[in-house]
Amino acid sequence: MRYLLLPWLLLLVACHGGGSIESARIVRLPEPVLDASLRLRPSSQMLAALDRGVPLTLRFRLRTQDATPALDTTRRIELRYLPLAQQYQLRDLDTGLMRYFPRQAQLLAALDRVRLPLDVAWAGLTAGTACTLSLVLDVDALPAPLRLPALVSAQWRLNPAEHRWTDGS
Amino acid sequence: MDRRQLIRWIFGLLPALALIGLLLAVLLLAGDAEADMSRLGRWWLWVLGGAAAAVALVLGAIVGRVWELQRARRARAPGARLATRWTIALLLLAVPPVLLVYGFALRFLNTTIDSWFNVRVERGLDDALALGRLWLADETARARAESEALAVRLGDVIDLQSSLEQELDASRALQFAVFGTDGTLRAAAAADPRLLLPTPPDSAVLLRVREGTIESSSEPLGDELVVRIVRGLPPDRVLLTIHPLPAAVQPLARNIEATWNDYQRLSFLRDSLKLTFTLILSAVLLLSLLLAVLAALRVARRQVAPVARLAEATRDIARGNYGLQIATSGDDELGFLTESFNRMSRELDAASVAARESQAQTESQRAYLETVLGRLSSGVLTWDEHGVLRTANPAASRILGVELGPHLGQPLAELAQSLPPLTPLVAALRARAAEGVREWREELRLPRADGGDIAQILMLRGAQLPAGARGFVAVFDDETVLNQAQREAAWSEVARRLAHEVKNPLTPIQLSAERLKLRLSGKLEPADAQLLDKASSTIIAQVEALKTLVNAFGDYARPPQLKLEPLHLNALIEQVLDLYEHDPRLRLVRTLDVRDPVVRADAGRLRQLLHNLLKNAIEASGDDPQIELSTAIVDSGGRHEVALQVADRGSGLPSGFDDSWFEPYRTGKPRGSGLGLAVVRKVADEHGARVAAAQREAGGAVFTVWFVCD
Repeated sequence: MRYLLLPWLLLLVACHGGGSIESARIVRLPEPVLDASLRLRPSSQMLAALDRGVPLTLRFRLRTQDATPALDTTRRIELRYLPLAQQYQLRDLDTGLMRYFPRQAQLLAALDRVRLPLDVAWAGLTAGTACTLSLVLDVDALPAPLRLPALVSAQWRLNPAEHRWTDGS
Repeated sequence: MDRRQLIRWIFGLLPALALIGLLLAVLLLAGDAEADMSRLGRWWLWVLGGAAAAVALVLGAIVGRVWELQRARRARAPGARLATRWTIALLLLAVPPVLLVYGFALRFLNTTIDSWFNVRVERGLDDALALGRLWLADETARARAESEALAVRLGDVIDLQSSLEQELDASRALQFAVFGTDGTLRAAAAADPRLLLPTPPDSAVLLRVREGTIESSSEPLGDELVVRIVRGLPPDRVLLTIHPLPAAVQPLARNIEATWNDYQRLSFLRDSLKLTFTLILSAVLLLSLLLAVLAALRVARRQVAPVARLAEATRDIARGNYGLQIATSGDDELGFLTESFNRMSRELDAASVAARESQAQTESQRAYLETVLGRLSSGVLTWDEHGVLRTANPAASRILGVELGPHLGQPLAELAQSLPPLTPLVAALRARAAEGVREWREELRLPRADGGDIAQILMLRGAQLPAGARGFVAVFDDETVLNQAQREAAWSEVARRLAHEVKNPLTPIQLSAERLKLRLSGKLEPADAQLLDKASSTIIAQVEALKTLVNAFGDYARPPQLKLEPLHLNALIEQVLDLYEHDPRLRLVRTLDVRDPVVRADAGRLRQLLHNLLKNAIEASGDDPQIELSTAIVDSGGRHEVALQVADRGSGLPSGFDDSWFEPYRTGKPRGSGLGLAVVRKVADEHGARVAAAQREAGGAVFTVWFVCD
């Protein structure tokens, strides 16, 4: 019976945020890159899952507002723990680039600033264009048994507020 | 199949499709959860939403059917209550086993998931991982030693690139690279093509290396695991070396890592797995319950449908709609029942037709009997074994002078109380019935219902009705009328003899008186001559009066030789009245029916009747005669009659006027012959008409003769 009640109990506590996007900008040269400063506070549940072999996928969505043509790009990075090497892996799923960190804190520190390569179209972005960056934990990439709890539980929600800015140059 | 049926069929199919969709969704979710897979990928939420929509659809269908059933129950539709009982019974049969299986499955599931985890297995995996780490540490230490030796040899080398290549050739290492402390590449050599472009250590590593730290780590390179060493290289340089691990141990290390990873992940997901499977089982439970409810509703409806049709048809039968046939429902007991109902309905229809025919025959017989009774001149009464009056024909009412129709269904005893003049008749009827005689005959004297002086004489004949009818019948005639006819016949004989015996000597008497007057009038003394003249004149006048009287008797006694023919009564009246128009004292008022009534009559006799009535009215009116004459077609017991009325404003009928005043030699006038009304009655009888006299409220009398319309 407790399993039947669990979703509703989780729903009751589903009101906590999990970090913020401090700043973001688009660096155009030599290739367009998203340069974002984050302050993520993954929940203990997420970090425990990471240490127990559950990979976590962060999904960034960058899009322009009221621009023609409209640009909308999604980038994903994956966090994974390698128990034998005792290393934390940070992998850009779109480019395949990987970085390794011996400690979880170093991994999280590396997330304070992320640089994600963008499509060439972003290089032609007109100055003064309003952009929006959002970041979520990709629930679809979690193991099947975790999806439903992740859908209703704040423990599985990074939930930083959507960041908006006007691109300067 | 028309469009409406197609739409209904599709709507009926939707719940089934929804159930199938729900089942597929549950199976997919269960499969994913069990295998820890992501086959549904990003669609899993849609699958979940679709399942919820399917549940909502099925629930909607169930609610709709339950509501429909409830509405039928409230409307007391045939079969609704039975369908409800069927549904409840089926649910009681289906739900408990489902709940039981659900409970056991839940418990079994939790136990099974718990059994996946074992402390010894976990410890073994941890040990294996620790062993792998130790092996990796040894390999790392060896790599660090090699890196340190290389750093010593490269300390004062001028051609760094050549030296690195030579060192790499002499080593099993995969890559040697030298960077500046700012991360710029100074020289590099690689044995693996994937490492031709050395990746500089990140800034944090460089910082630590500048502080004297030797960074060592094991990292994947493709499917393999390699050891990476970063250390300082004087002056102001950084040496990066990458060393392979023994190939034979690589698969083992990978297996250990993967298995430990899987186990840890499964252990972490234990509660989530239980929750997921519980939800899936609950969905299956919900599916089963919905299926059970839908099936129960459908089965109940199908099973009850023939019963409902039977009940509806029974109501129709009760409303008299016989012969109704309903579709049979297979060869089971219900089908047999339906067929029996159809047979019963057909037989009822046939019986109904026979009953209607029989009723029609009965009605015909009754109408026939009523017509016969209505045309009988004799009065007929019937009453049942309880003494209740059942039949009274019009002649009975006419003879007795009371309307008996309203008293039908009334006991004879009450009839005597409400109509006291009939008391002797009722007493006689009850007495004969009580005696139990089969037939009887007696003469009965009744006081007149209208208060007349002369008692009514009835000849009464009675008998018991046949055994099936259980009652009595009495037939009676008004003997008073018969006596009158006999008296009329006697008077006719008297009149005929008077006319024959008296009329013959009158002419010689008259002639003798005239001869005496003629012979002696000149021979006698004036006084004698005057006496003779007066006496002979008296004789002659009285003889004339006697002749008139005898002629009147002759008219009365003359046997009828009628020449009956259709006669326009209004025209005849006008012809007769023309004869009276010359009298200036006389005022005649005509009110003749515009429908121009026609009677079958002898014109001469009818003129005689009119003359007598007019003469009677004029004589009764005194010095200022005003005669009102009218005709009117009236309905009398279902046949049309013409009522001819002659009314005056004279002194009215004499006191004690009754039927006897229509007999000869009854007159209220000092000089009347006493034959005027007798002739009227005689002519009326000759034409099958009735005649009656009545006092007028405004003064005077009115005589009415009713002729049958032609």
